[in-house]
Amino acid sequence: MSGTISQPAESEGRAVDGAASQPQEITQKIQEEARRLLRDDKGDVVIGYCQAWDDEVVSPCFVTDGSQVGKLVFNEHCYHNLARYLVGCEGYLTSRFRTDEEAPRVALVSTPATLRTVVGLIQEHQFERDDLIVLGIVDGTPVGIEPDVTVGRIKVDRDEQERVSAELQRLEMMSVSERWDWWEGQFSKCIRCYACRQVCPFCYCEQCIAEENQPQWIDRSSSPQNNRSFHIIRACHLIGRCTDCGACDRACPMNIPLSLLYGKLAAEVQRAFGYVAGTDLEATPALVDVLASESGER
Amino acid sequence: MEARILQRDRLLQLVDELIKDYEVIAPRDELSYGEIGSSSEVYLAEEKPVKSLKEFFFPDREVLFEYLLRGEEVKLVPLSLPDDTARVILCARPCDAAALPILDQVFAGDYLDPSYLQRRKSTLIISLACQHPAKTCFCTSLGGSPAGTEGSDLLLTPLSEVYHVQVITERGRALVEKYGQFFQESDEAWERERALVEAELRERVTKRVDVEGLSEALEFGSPIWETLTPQCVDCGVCTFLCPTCHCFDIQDEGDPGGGARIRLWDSCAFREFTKMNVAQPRPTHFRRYRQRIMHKFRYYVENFGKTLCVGCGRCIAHCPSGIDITEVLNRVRG
Amino acid sequence: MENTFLPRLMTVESIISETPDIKTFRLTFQDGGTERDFSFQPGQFGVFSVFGQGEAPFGFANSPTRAGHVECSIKRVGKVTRAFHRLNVGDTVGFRGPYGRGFPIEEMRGKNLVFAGGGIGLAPLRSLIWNCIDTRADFGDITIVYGARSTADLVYKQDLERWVEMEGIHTVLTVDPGGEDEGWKGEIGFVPAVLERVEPSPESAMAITCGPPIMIKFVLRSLTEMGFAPAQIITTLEMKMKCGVGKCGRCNIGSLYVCKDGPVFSYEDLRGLPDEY
Repeated sequence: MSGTISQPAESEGRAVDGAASQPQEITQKIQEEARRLLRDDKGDVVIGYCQAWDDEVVSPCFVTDGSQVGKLVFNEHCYHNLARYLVGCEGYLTSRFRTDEEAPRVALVSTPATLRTVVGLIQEHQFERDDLIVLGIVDGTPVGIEPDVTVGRIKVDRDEQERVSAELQRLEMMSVSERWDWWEGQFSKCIRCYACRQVCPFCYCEQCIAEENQPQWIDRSSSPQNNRSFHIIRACHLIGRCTDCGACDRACPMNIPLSLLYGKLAAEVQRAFGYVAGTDLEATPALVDVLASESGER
Repeated sequence: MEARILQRDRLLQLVDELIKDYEVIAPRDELSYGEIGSSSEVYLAEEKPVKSLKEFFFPDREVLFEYLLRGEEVKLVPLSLPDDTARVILCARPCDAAALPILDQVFAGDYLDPSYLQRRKSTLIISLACQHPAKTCFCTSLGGSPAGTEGSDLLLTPLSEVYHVQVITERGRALVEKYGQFFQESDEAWERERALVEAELRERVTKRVDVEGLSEALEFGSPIWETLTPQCVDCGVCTFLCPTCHCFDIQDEGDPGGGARIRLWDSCAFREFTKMNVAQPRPTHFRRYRQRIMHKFRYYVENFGKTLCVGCGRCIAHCPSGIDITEVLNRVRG
Repeated sequence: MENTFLPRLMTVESIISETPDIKTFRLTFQDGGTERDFSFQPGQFGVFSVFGQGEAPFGFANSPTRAGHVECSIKRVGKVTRAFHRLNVGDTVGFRGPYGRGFPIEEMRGKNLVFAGGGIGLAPLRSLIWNCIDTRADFGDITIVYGARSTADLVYKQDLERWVEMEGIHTVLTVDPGGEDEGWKGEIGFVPAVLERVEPSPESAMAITCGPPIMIKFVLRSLTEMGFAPAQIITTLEMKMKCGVGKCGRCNIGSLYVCKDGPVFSYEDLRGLPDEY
């Protein structure tokens, strides 16, 4: 996971209820909670991770029965942002294919980035805090909600943060035209598979701007210009919202370092507005706030 | 079998000779095959390139023709066919080569596709046997092999000291004769070694799926589809990286003065794929995923007698949600 | 080698506003050679385009017995159809085709024909109806039941008047309850219900139906109840299409492509297909 948003130093020695730090301990705690929720009929589905086709690959999974709880795991390969499954037109909390009364009670295994995402989705009125049981994994960085149960505690990956920082610095030392060329080279690799969009919890629009054809804002074929349009527009649509989970990066089959771009924009938002997405549930998102006050002045 | 031997240390020299006479395409990096200007640009790794060879015959973006708009009048500018400069694809993965005869059913069947056919005609394929099949490979279950010959003109199999060169087609033989100075005759000992090597390589493909009777076993109406792959996010990674997937869209791109009609890759996984303004036959994920599986493993078989899959495993390796299609197939057939 | 994706150019000769959102376009080929050689079967379709906006499939609405031009009726529902509605007489459009399997006219010879159409679904039926009228001796009784939501939504009003007055064919027009205007002399009711009132005999007959999916569903049921066997009922389906030639993978129902194996199907064909349309 990348963590380009600047975080305060990890606080040491803070006792957190039921905190654990080894992957096996976190796994166990998740399984215990899942079992309890399903057995006591406090939840209908636990969204977590399970082992996939290899030791180093996990899959998001959806456990509805106590007997399946043993599938749930947690390890360093759990980078998917599971909040993605809550929203969108088939989302567990927002599906348009069933009535609100039929909405399942969802428990979500949430990494620190997912916790921040949940904050953002609540700010955007996708669902309410009470609609979700949060099984949180914390890392000491600020986040705008308390998990219902803290199932684990992990360390911020400082090495990764430094690597990303160094990459951003390298880009910033380029001239504007060098930077443009560099990104153009990256975007020309894009095959328009939309994996980046599909794994992103904030891309929940029922009709993405890329799918709009009256007018066709973004042409669909994978020309360098079209790709550039898509990626710049998507990045703009994520300003002040992206919580730097890195799922887009991991999903991209062509190794386009997308989260560098979103991370850079997030750093700009922090510099300009002092706003970090997902850290304060009561805050109004940065761009919404600015626009509202601008129009108020007119 | 007709065969030759190529000394290991002469491969790159052969490549440089080929480059003088042909457009040569080879794996360039971990992501894709591409045109190379010298043998030093060939990138050989254990992992196959992320993208298959499909784009060299069925481009991800292809201009069908251009049009000029002049008030009421329109002038069409048909594009000339890709030139028939001969191309050689080098060190192709056998699975990628095997996909081409499967794609021929569609593009070289009814309503022949002139540019596809031109490219097929002008391209010679030299495959290189895979010594390290990935955990995700399952070619042997689909009638293929790390040393498979389907779709190739020549197959290089690395032996202990040399490359065994299997001559598969007339075109392959012609090339070997043209560059005769690089090749030696094979003999029984080399042939025996080759057979042993192939057997060994086949064993290294550990992922297996039973496709016997699979086509008949797939049932559209089964309730299992609805809960089969809830983790799938409906992106197009599996379909775009797949060497046999070939769904496409046609779009006009341009401005009021003119533009081009483009054929571009599309995916049955996308919600928009079947969406009309008046109706939408596949509004939910499970219907789209069902279409993917049924198309590849049943409908294509019914229409063309071939499975629309070569077992390359890219869909498994690169699925953002860790879905394994062989595991899905096992579950679906019950 | 012919590239089927390269369209031929056609000129808009005339535009008729059938209803507030349906226009019928009469088109002629700009190339006289194509004009002479071109023919099609009722039930087939072409992929028409407005250059710069895109392509869409439309069935032929005129009969090949009245050729020299192509007619298609287009309802304005989206980007490409809207672009068509903005065209003027004299504008150029693109055309590829004819594609698809047309109506099984050979099987229909000597039979009594029952047409059941709804809304713009009359378009492909019109092609067949005029074809049959022009070769009248080849067919038995001809019955037409056609309806729309309201009087304003009826298409081909001039043709309807002629069919009503024509001897040798029995034409019944209807509008949905509440859709009649003053002076409406036809039936009031949904097409399937009116069809049941007309009660055509299945003896030596074939029924051809086209219209909104819900209408087709109930018409199939009514015809079945009246004793029509599945093989006696013909319909034409609509799916999102791009290539029109069975390659782009989009319009399939099971292993059949609506563009290539259809769009005309018998009810017998449909019963063997997955319910995905």
